[in-house]
Amino acid sequence: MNPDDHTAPPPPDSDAMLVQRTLAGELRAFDLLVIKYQRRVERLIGRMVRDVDLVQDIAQETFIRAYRALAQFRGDAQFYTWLYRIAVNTAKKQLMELKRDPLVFQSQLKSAEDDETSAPERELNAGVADTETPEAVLASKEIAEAVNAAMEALPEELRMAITLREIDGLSYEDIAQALECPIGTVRSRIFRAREAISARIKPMLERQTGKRW
Amino acid sequence: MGVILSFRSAARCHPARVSARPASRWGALALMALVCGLVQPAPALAEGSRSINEWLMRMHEASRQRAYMGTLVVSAGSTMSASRIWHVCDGVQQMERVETLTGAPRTTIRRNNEVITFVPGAKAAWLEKRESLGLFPELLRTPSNAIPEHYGVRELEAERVAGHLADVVEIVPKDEWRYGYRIWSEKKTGLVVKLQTLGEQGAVLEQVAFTELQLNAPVRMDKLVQLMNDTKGYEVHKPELRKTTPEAEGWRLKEAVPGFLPMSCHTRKVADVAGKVTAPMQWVFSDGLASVSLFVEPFDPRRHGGERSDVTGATQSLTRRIGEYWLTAMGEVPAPTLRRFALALERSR
Amino acid sequence: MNSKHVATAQDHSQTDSVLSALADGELPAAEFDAVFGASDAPDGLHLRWQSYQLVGEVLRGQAPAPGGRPASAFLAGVHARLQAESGVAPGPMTVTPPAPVEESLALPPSRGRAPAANDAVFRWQLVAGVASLAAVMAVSWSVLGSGAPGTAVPDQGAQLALVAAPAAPAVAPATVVVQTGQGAVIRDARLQELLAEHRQYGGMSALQMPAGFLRNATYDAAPQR
Repeated sequence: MNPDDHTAPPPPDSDAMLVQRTLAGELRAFDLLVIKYQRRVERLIGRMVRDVDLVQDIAQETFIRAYRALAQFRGDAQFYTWLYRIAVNTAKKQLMELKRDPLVFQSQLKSAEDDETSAPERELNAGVADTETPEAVLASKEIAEAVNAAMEALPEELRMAITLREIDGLSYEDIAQALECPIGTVRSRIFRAREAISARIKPMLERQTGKRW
Repeated sequence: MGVILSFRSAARCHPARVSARPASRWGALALMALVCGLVQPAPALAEGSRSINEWLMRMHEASRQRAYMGTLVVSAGSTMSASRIWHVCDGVQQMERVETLTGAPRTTIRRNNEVITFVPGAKAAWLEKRESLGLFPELLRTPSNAIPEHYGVRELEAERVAGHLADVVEIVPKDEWRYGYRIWSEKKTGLVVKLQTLGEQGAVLEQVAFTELQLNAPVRMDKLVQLMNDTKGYEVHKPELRKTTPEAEGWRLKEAVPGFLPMSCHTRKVADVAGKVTAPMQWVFSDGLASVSLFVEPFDPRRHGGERSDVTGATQSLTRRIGEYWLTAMGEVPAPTLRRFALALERSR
Repeated sequence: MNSKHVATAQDHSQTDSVLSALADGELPAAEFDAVFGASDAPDGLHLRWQSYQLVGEVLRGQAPAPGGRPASAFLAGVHARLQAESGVAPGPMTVTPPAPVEESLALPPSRGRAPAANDAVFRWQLVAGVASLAAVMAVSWSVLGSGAPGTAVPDQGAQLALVAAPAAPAVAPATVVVQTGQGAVIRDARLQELLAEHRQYGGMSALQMPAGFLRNATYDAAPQR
C-alpha cells in the first residue's frame, strides 16, 4: 500500500485496533492501552478522591473492569470516553462505600457529585495541582528538562514535524501539506524525532523501574 | 577450638547478632556453624525424614544464599496486594528491595536488619533497625526444642509454584493456641515460594506467594546500595526505640501462655494529634513461629472504649482496659490466645 | 515531487516507525501485524511505547498525578490483580482474555480464588449488605464484636455468621484519624499503626525471612508518626 495514496481510507483508530487485538488474545495490546491512559486516569480520579493511595487502587481497578468489559466496547465510540465512564463509576462506588463507613473522616472525601455532568472533553490539561508533591514535580521536571534539551538538539525538520503532531495535533496528512512533503516522510521524521528524544529519557525510565521493562 | 572458630565466622555471617553464650548453648553454636557452611549438612535426606527444625533451617538459609527477583502476591479472603521483589546476598550482606504494585506506592529496601521505607507521596523515608530480622539464631534462646514441642510437621505431594517445583510441608499445631502453616519450599534451594497460614479446619487465613520468580537473577548489590542511600529529596525519619523490660515498666504476665516466651520489650515516644507525648510499651512474645505483641498505653476516655475484637488477614487483635491502662493485643494467633494474654497481664507495682 | 527514499531504506523505516505511527493513530490496518512482530523484544515494546507517550505528555505540558507510580509498576499491579482473580497459573501474560460480561461496568460476582477452596471469606466490612469493593482496598480491619469487658469474644468459626448481621455499632468514641499531607482516609488509624508496629518490631518468627518481611513490605501502611 502506497503511504502517499490520498485516496486510501483513513487509518483505523489505534485504540479500537488495540481493543480488537486484545480480544483476539494479544494481551500486549491491552498493556499498550494501560500505559497510554494510566496517567490520564490517575489525574481524573485524583480530582474525585483525595487520598493518593486510594487513587492508585481505583486507577488499577478501572483497568481491570475495562478489561473484563472489553467485549462490550463498541468501536464506534472513543475508547477513552468509555474508559472515562468506567473510571468515574469505579471511583463513585468506592466513595459511596466510604461515606457509609461511620469510621471515616467525612471531610477528607471530595464530592463526586460534580462529575455527573463533566465529560472527558472538558478535562483540563492538568497544571500543577494543589496536592502536587515536590517529589512528583521533581521527577517530571527531570524528564521535562531532558525532553526539552532533546528537542533543542533536533534538526529543524524533525522538530517541526513532532511539534505539529504533538502540540498542534495535526494529522500526518495535514502536516504533509503544511511541510509540502509526502506523508511517508512525515511519518519517518516524527519517528526519528521520537527515537532521538527517547534515547535521552529511557535511562530515566529504566532507573525508575529497576529495569523491569 | 573448632567451636570457637565457627562462632567467629558466625559473627561475620550474622552481623546483627553477636553475643556471648554460655557453654550450655552448644546447640546454638552448632547451628550457627551450620549456617556458615563450616559444617556440611547431611546429604539430601530421604523423603519425610527432615525434622521441623531442619525444614525451617533449610528455608531460612535458602533466602540467604541466593539472588532472585519476582512478583509476590499477598492475599487474605477477597483482598490482595502485590509487590515486586529483588533479593541478593553475597555471603556477608543480604539485601532486598520491595516495590509495591498495588495500594500505596512504597519502596522498602533492606540491608541485613537495617530497613528504609520510601514514601514517594510524602517525600519522606523511615530508617530503622529491626531486631526481628537478624533473629533466627536468636530464637534458639528458647530451649532448642521449643518449636517441635508445639508443632508437628508432615510432607505432602510436591507442587509447582511460579514455574518451580516445590516440596509442600505442613506445620501442624499441637494445640489450639496457635495456627498451622502450609509451606511450599522450592526443591533445589529450599526457598519459600508460597506460604499459607491455616486456621480452623485448615481454612486459609492468609497466603503469601510468588506469582513470578526468577532464581539466580542478575540482581546487583551495588545498585541496591545506591538506591538505599539515595535519600535526596526525602526527609528521613529515624524512629527511636528505647529498650526496656516489662518489670521496669511495671508489668508482668501472671500466667504464661503455653509455648510463648517473652522476646523483647521497648517503648517509643509518640506525639498524638493534640501534641501530647506518651511512650507506649510494646512487649513481644513468640513461640518460634507466631508472634504476639502487647501494646500498653495510658487509658484515654476520649479515644478508648470497651473491649473489642478485630481481625485482618491472619492477624487478630484484642483491645481492653486494664485499670488505668489500655491494652491492644495483636498477633497471628487465634482470638482465645489473645484473650489468655489479656487476662494474664497485670500490673506488678 | 515525490521525494521517495531508496526502497529498502524506506521499507526498513516503515517497519521501525510502526509503533510511532500507532501512537499517532496513523497506522494503516495492513501494518498492524507488525506492531507485535517478533523483531522487538517484548520488553522493548513497552519501554518505547511508554517513552513515546511521555514525550507527548511533556510537550503538551501535562504533569503526572501526584503519588503516581512508574508505568511498569502500575501495569505489573494490573497484571497481578488479573492473575489473582482468574486463578490462572502464574506467568507473564497468562491471563485469560476478557469474556463477555452480562452487565457492563458491573462488578463481577465473587471471583473464584486461586488457592484453597476454603479460604476464609473475609470482607472489608462496614454495614451489612454492602458488597465490598473486593480487591481494591488494601487489607483493613473488620469489627467482629464490641461490648462491655467480659463479653465473650466469638471464636473463629462464628466469624462468618457475625459478619453477615451487623454487630450493634457500639463503637468506641470518635476514632482518631491520622492526618497525612494527602488527607488520609483511614478506617481505624490506631489499629493500623499498631499493626505496622507489630509487624516491624514484633515479627519474631522463623518464618519472618523471607515470607514475613516480604509480606509486611507489600502492604504495611506507611509509618505515620
